[in-house]
Amino acid sequence: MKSPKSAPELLDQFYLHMRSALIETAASFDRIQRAGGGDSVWRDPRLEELREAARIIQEDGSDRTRRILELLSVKGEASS
Amino acid sequence: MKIIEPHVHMIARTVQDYERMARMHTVAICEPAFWAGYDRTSPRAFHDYFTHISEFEPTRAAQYLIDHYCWICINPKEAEDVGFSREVISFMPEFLSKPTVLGVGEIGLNKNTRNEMIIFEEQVELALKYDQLIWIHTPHLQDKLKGTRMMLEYLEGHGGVDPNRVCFDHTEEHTLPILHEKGFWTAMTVYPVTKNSPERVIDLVETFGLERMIVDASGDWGPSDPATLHDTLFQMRLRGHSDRAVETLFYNNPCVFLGQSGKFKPQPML
Repeated sequence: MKSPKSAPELLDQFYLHMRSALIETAASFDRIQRAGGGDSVWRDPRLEELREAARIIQEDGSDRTRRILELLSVKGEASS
Repeated sequence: MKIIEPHVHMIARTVQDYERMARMHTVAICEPAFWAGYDRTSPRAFHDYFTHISEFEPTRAAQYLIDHYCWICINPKEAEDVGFSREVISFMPEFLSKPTVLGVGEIGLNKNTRNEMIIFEEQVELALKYDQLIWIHTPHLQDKLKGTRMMLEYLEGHGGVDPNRVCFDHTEEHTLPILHEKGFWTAMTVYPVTKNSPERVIDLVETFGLERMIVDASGDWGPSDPATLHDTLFQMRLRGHSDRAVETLFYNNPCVFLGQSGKFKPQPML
């Protein structure tokens, strides 16, 4: 079921939302680093995953969302 | 255009939500049995809960011309105690025959434990024994992919489960494709924050088509809003899709899946 809209039309529709979401994420990184103890959490695995997610956004392909969700998922067998 | 809300926990909502949904052309809603925001202190509390959602909520909804249906189960967030859960399961059959109960749900996993899986499997068996539809809760956030794979592997290996009578809810980009290709129904739940957005739901529809796809909202005790369903409908129209396609996703598809229960009254629009 193809999008009825063209790529330029979708870019016009979503550009400001995309811009805002990235700026909000950057501001959150800054906020955490400025706060007391900021340096100590800088290598927190959750932040590492978000940095990796930002790298995935820059890659080619049309399944970035799936790849980021898989990156953020736990792995392994059933827990006891 | 009529709309069906397949997933809303009205026990946690005020009458204003019924009023809002009615004004936005919602004609039928479904309330899967789930956690109530706290752990019940006895199995008997579930009997009261099942009575509430199968008898009282339909009367609240009817005041707004909305048909209220429900699903019955021991939910995964309270399924870790196997003995407790089995006591609840023991009186589920008396509710499955009620006129507004559509099937067994929302069963599933929460933290993907072995005990949760035992109770999931026992409730699948109960559903099959009583010829019931199944509505499945997939875990949230980082546990979703693993839990979805565990349940899919069990159902595929079972041999007696018809995928067309099972709907996996709360699916996202990393879980919907693996369920859809196996013939299961997939529902996408829209939240104001942290999970599926209206935009992402329509992305998934454009990628995988309309067949066996359902959209629902997130009316519960946390940050949620039944109007997110209507936000998603509006997003689909903003993206240029036809009224016919919108009607298929938000009305006809739930009619087709839920109609298999033999109890769901709304009929697909021809």
